[in-house]
Amino acid sequence: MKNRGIEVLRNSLLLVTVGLFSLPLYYLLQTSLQNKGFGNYYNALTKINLGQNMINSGIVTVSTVLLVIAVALPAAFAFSKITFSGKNILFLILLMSLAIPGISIAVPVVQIVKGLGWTNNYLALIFPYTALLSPFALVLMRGFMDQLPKELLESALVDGCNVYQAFFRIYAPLAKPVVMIVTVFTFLGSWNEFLFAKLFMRKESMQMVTTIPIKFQVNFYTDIPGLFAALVLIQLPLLIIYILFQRVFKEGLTAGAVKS
Amino acid sequence: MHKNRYTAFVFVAPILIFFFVFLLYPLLYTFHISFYEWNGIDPIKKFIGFDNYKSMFYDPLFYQSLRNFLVLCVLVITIQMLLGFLLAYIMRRNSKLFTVFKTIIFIPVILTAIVVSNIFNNILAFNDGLINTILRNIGLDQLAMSWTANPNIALFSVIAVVIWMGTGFSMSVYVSAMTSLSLEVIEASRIDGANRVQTITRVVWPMLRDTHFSLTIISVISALKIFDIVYLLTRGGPMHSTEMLSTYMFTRTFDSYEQGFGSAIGSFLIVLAVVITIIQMRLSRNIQN
Repeated sequence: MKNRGIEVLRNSLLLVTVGLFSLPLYYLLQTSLQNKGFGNYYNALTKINLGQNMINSGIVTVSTVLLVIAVALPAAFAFSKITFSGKNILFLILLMSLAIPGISIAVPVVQIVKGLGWTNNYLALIFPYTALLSPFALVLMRGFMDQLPKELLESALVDGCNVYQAFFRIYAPLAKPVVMIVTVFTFLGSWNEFLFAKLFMRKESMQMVTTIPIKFQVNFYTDIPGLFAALVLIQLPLLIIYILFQRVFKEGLTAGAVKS
Repeated sequence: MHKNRYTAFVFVAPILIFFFVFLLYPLLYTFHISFYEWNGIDPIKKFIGFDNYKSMFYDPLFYQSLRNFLVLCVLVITIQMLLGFLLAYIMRRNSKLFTVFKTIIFIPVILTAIVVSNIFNNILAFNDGLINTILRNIGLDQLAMSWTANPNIALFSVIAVVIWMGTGFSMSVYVSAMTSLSLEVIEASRIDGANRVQTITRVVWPMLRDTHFSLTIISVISALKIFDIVYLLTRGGPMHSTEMLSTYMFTRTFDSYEQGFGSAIGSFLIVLAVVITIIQMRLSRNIQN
């Protein structure tokens, strides 16, 4: 009987906790459908041109993901399979950057972006995002490369391949699982970034989804359901990716937590 | 292993270029600017030595931001880890319902700060916010508070939102750590006569030491990086009661154009980040030995 009591208590605590966690999500969806129902979504896309901002975020995010993979995968291969002097210290320095808050380098990055004339240009976000997000990708990818046997490289070299061919034809294709994990995490990091998006994308037509609702908040002062429909739309690509790649997410979380 | 300096350089050069231009150079430049008086626009900067650091260390708002950050850090990490651990433990067996529950708790992790801040600014609003409406409807009017406008409460409201956004992460990490732990250990300790509480505190919790360690490190680092959600919820207000080092740096740098002073705070943040990383590396080496 005593066990039964504990179980009831445990289950009701679990239900209350899940209820509290789901309440804000439910509130978001429910509010977004008030008044005009799906008309709110239609308005968000047509009246306030949310589509343009989603395209901007999409371009920046996809470019960042591709660039992060392009710079981190070869580096992970070299750190894992090639011996060179200064390797460990170089890796440690790259690791340090995992903890650097974006805000602490914002002033100089503003100067660099201004100097290059990149204000209101996608490159102003793609390049800093790549720098900020690639160290974590490197950690994940190196962990994966370390598990691939070095004999693959040795036998490829014996067979007359050079190191570059060995990387492109053997190791890069084998790294597909970790590339998926990196894609998901880089996508999240880039789509959700706020500070640089706010500093560099001033022109309305160039703004990202993370900053545009500040304008909506003014426009939608009396139309909260309209604002909330826009918010759901902003979140939709992430939710789709999360649902499609739930397993990848879990693997990434485990790998990330163990490696760091 | 293959040895070749030149080949290695070709593979590592691209990531290093990004690292040097957009991370290391800005980092050093932040230290540089912190020794100048500069509004960020004028071509001329005035060298003032350590004056920015002096005014920073005499600035009560700097200490208030630091204190707020520490309160947030301790509360968020403790609650998030305990809650994540308990949720993972209770839902350790696979079932459809638990998968749905875990998904719901994880979704806030991937949400965008602007979305979260808008949801909660509406939930926490004094007049027609969801929480106060519910409280008034069940007759608890005296509990209806201005959750983000009262300086004594605002920090805790922010902390609650941050916990909402982060618990799913620690829960998921604990879930995967527990599956590798094997449930047999738990069953075995039950048979040996340990009760439920003992099983959790003396068997499961100690076995997850490495997970507690990495989660703590990850949480400290993400707390240090926290900016957007605080900025969007409260802008550090009211009366700096939710000010973090990051939001304080932002306001001084980009709203009042004191980029030298802002860079001094930025340098302080960088030093904190490096210190945390070094501590982490030392400790993880000790754990491995």
